[in-house]
Amino acid sequence: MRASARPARARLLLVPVLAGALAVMAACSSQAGSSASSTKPVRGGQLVVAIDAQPTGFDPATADDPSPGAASVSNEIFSTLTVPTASGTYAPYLAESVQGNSDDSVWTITLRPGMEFADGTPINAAAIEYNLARIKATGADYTQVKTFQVTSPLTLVVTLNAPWSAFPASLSGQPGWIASPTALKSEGKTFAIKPVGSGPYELSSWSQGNQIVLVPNPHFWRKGLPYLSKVTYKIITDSSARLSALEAGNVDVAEVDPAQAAAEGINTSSQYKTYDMANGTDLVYFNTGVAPLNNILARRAVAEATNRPALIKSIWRGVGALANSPMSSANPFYTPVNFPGYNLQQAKQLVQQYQQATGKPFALTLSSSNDPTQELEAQALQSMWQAAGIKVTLAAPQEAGTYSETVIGKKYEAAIFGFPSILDPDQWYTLIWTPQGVLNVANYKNAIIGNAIVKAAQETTVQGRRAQYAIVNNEIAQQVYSLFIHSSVNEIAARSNVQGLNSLTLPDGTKAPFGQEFQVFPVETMWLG
Amino acid sequence: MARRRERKFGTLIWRRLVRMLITIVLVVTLTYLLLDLIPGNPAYSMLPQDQLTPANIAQVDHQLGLDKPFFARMGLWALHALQGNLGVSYQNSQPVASLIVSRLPVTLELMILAQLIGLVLALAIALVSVNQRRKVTSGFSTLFTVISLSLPNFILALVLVLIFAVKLHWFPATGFTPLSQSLSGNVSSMILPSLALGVGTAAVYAQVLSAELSKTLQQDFVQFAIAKGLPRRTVLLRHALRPSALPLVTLAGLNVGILLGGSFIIETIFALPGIGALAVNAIYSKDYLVVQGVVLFVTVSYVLINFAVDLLYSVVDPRVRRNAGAS
Repeated sequence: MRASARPARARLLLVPVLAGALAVMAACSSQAGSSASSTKPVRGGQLVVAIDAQPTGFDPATADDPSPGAASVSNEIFSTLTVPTASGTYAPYLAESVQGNSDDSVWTITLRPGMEFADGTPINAAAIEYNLARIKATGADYTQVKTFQVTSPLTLVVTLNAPWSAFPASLSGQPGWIASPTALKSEGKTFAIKPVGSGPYELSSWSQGNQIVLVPNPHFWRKGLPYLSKVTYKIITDSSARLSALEAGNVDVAEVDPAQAAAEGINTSSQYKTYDMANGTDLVYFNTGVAPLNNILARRAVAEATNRPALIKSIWRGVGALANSPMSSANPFYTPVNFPGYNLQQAKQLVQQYQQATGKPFALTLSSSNDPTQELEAQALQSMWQAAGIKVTLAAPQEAGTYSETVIGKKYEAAIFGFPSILDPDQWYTLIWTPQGVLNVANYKNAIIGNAIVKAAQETTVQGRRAQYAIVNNEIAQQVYSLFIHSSVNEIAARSNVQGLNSLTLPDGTKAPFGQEFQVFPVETMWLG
Repeated sequence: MARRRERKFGTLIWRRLVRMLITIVLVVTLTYLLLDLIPGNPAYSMLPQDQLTPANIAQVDHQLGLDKPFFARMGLWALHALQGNLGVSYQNSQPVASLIVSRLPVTLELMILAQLIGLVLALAIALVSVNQRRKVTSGFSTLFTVISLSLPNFILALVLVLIFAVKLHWFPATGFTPLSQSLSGNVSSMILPSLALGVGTAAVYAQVLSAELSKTLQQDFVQFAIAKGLPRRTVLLRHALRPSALPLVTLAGLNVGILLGGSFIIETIFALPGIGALAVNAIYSKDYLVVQGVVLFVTVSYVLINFAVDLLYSVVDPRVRRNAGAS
């Protein structure tokens, strides 16, 4: 019996598969980046942004956005009362003015007439008071406020328990998201998924874990804005996947890992534009409450045994600047700090001095989380410190939550950690660097630092506050309470036809700094060229 | 006699049901215990750094019931779970049950498409490989099977993204378009993820089907069909394929668990809003109640599916019922 000669089954099956693929390709649309750009804003267009996490909800009192990307969505739905400027002050934004009295113990917020929320509710002093009092009631913020008082339809007076010059800074973040009181009262808990705000966009739809779609708010108080007719935020948790989506043309803007983007040539390609955002400081906390790092000789030895530029080059591929304090050098409150530099010979001598002074060998344990970068960093630091004669044991890497507990519980000797990106230092310095601060994980007692932080909160000028923070940073460096390594950077990459990403202009025509406070990137002034 | 056989078969079903329930209870208990044994307080992951005060931590502990004894916690959770209440996600305050239900269609679609791709590819490969006249294509199918079995699905996913999304722009690299929004968009968004998950499955199915086909082709009834002068294609498709495909029924059922596990990674790579991505995010953010809910759902589903497969097998193959009656 002879088998008949027929086409292979596999070949026959390929035909419908290919036909289907061709049909899908025809149906697919991919956005090709246009190298032609327009300097004049163009109305219309739909922007797609890839972010790493979705907001936990849009209620200003309960939201806990896990990332800058998530916070960016919220910042399009709500306008804040103030926004940061490059000089360290806070310019009024939703508010027409925010004025403090002579000692910044009483603040007067004045609004523009005729503003409305997305549901048509007037934006007036009563609405502002409702929002701020609601935040105060949660205990999360404004605990320094004694009273809120509506003195006219457009004027709210806030009296504090003590002078607080950073009050305008608090109005630029989540506590300053102003939501419609009508909607807050009628929606209750569901407001978190059905927000009504004062921002340039309003929520059109939210497919949990997939995407969030915003459309223009017709009641937006800045006439003529926004330009785009739709903004879609795609939630893509994996950084490689976000980069792939950008390269494939599925998104127009994406948060990317700078090192990955550099490896893909995004920074040098004419198809894309990249913008760096401050992403905090990488450092090693020293537990100054236990041996060996309760001894300044030991702390200086470790600092001088660390070749920080080499570390930045090898771990972070040279992305990000050397850090000498909790603040980045771009921070308006920063002044240069003399932090111990790399000097291996000096480090060896300090190790010997320590051993002679204490009669003990210099040995310490270095802790890290199980983040791959931190593990690499730990190994590199171990190698550097051992070259100076320090015996270094690496603790078993811990999962992030457990590691936070270890560090905050001060159950470590030296610990790799991160300090968040800050524009106004008030909140974080009070929490972390004040000796009695809840997060003083370096476990030190230093009256110079404590007093300077308190004074900084009471200074009424940027120069005065800067001078106090200079005292704090210099004392931290002098005493080497921590080893500051690297000002890390996050990056936004956009296709070349995306315009206006870095140009949020204020009502008075000045430009707001990009990517500082909370590392958010504003969409309201963007357009597609 | 037939009635006695049916009664014994009914007893067999009943026994399997009981075994199924015991399995569910054991796995859920173990999962709850394991999650409880994870070191560290979830409050440190859940609360922002600036709110890590002892009072706030105690409040989170109270909300999660962590201040109660283990068995009291577990009993309360189990009681609520029986009523369909799996708790509320700490991350976004949504009911866990609603979150799972809303994400389920995406994962189901991915698994069904992956199974279909796997079965279609396996059929093609197996039929080609048993056709000994085509040694070249037979060798190619063997090579394909070996490579597919060796290649992890997430590596294949990344390769597919690089070639078909980034370089060729044929399909999106990430994202999901619901069927209700656009059929073409939905198909386009699911092709690469389904291929990534289905190709490895095809390799396993092809191996089993090839082996079974080779055995069946030696059977007397097949030899008789060949001797009658029937075309090879007819012999393969009409006589040999059905009895050879029975083990695939069991394998497909068992493979549901593997596909579900694979969906965790694939959904993360392709940013598909399914149960896998939900679970991964919940694990990272220590949203324990979501993790527990997903594990419970996956466990119960897997056990039910395999129970259904057992029943289906006994329907398709009368020998199973006969043997059950005889024992």
